[in-house]
Amino acid sequence: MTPAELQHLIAQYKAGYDEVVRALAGIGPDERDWRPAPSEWSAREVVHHLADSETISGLRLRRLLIESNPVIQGYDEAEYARHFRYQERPWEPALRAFEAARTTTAQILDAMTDADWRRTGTHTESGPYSTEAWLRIYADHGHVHANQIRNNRAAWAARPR
Amino acid sequence: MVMSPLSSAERAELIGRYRAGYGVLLNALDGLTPADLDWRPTPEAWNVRDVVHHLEDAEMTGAVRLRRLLTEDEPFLVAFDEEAYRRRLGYAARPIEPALDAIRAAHATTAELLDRLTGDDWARGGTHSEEGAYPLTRWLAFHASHTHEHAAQIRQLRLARVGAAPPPAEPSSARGPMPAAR
Repeated sequence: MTPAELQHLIAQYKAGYDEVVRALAGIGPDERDWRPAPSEWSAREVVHHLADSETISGLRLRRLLIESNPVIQGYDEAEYARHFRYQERPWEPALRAFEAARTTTAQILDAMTDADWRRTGTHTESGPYSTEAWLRIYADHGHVHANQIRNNRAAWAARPR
Repeated sequence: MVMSPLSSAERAELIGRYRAGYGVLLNALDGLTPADLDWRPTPEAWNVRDVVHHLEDAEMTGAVRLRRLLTEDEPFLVAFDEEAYRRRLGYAARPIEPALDAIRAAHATTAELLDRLTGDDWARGGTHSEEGAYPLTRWLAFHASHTHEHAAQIRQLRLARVGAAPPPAEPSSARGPMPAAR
């Protein structure tokens, strides 16, 4: 990865929380809980997914920096959504968790050296897992889910009434 | 059925203690000066800034461990080397406000889960790489007190700084990191 690409991805990572907040601006109570299809997540569920996923990912980066070739445990995000009742829980603490995970992890990203960007671990499902691969996965994770929320809201506006 | 070693009243008390930890931490930090934040009794000892970042990483780790205990069958939990985290992740140079937000959010979201646990959930457990068997009740007993203990450590550090006669500061009550969050 070139230094320019690295800086671009870190900047994208830092912008992810605000992107989600923009996508949620003005959302109504019913719209927040509405699922476009029974198998898809509501905006509320997306926010809880971001809280759990981004806390887990922030800790994965820390382990890649500290442990020698750590084993990174995969997790079932759909099972988390069901088991932890994303659809029933308040979303404000989840938004705070998402924001704090990103803010604290961004502090770490800013201090990483060239050697840090060559560290690796092993993911239980996807195999070799480097700090660089981590950044490629999570740089746009917030943006991807902001788009999912926007798509939900467009479908909500166009729903049959 | 595996019986939980904690009664429901004991569990409720520990969950209440877990919920109260962040407020107790804020109280311990009340009126903190920049000098308080960065003062170390000895060059190797933790300062208040280190303690807050330690809580950030330990409490986020605790939050994820609880989720793993609840969704995986007998998960393997890798020990948390708190001294390696402190040195490797540059605790001494980082602002603490995001860390405080992370502690508050980890506790708030995790307390929502604790309130909803069923009798079967309380019988769950995993294996810790250094401590061995790690039942969910052990998670609760540890995390209920962890933030409180570090709030007390912060109070002691602030008192020790006041008591340290300048110059040079050589307090007799130098404390190392406490307690082990692994």
